Amino acid sequence: MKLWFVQLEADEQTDYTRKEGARRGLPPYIKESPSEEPINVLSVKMLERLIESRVRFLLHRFNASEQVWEFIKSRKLQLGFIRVMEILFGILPNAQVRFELSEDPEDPDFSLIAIEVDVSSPQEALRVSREFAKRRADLPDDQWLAFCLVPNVRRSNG
Amino acid sequence: MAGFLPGAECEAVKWMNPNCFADLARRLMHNISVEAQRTAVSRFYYAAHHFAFASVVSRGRRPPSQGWRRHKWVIDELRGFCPIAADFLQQMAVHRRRADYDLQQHHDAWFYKDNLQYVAALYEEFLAELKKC
Repeated sequence: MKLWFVQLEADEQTDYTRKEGARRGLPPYIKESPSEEPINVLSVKMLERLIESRVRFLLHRFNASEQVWEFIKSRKLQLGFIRVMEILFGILPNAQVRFELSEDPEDPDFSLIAIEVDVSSPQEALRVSREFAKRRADLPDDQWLAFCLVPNVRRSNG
Repeated sequence: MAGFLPGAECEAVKWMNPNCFADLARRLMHNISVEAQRTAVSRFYYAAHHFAFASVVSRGRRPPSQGWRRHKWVIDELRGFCPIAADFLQQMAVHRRRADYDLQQHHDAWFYKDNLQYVAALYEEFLAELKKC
């Protein structure tokens, strides 16, 4: 799964262009030619909105609780969340994910979002953990500390 | 603590030897009761935590005075020179929270043979990574 959040939001861009046109005194039916780099015409605020909508979409898709969203929002981890999920989907494109706010009663500062994914065997769990660890090693500290992958080995029917 | 090496023989009289924690965890993971399996997961984490703590301190870092807050501190410090091991330790910390505190019955399902086998293997991978740093 690729998270091309900017390019998917065509309506947002159109809306932005219309507003920008109005601001510059252009009649509403005259549209500026579309930019080849849509990211350049979006203000920071717009980008924040787009990132937030992607985060909420992913959380909704995997039935995350409102607690998880509040944690991400309060710590301004929206972009970090997108990055972490991109890394995860790069390893497991069809990952079945569950989110859980994991708190430590012994250390109140040490809260994080546990990202639980189903895997087929202990060996696959190790492979996924190692790959995830390698790929996210360069994330900024706050983003790294706030998320943790937790593989769950599916029970076989037998 | 710093004198203990991963894999060194467990001596019963030295109760803080992390190798003893790991030995106990390996025995408990074969027990069929979920309580024993939860304890096994918790002991694997503490064994890893103590090795990581010793490694961080041996590099001249001073732990915070509030002992309970050392979980995050150790992971954070370890990340500075051994990021993969720190990642594995962070994951074991989450497993241990479930084992020790998340006692709702429907969560018992996580503690079963394959997941325990995975945690045991993750502990060994953690030690292997720590040795490289």
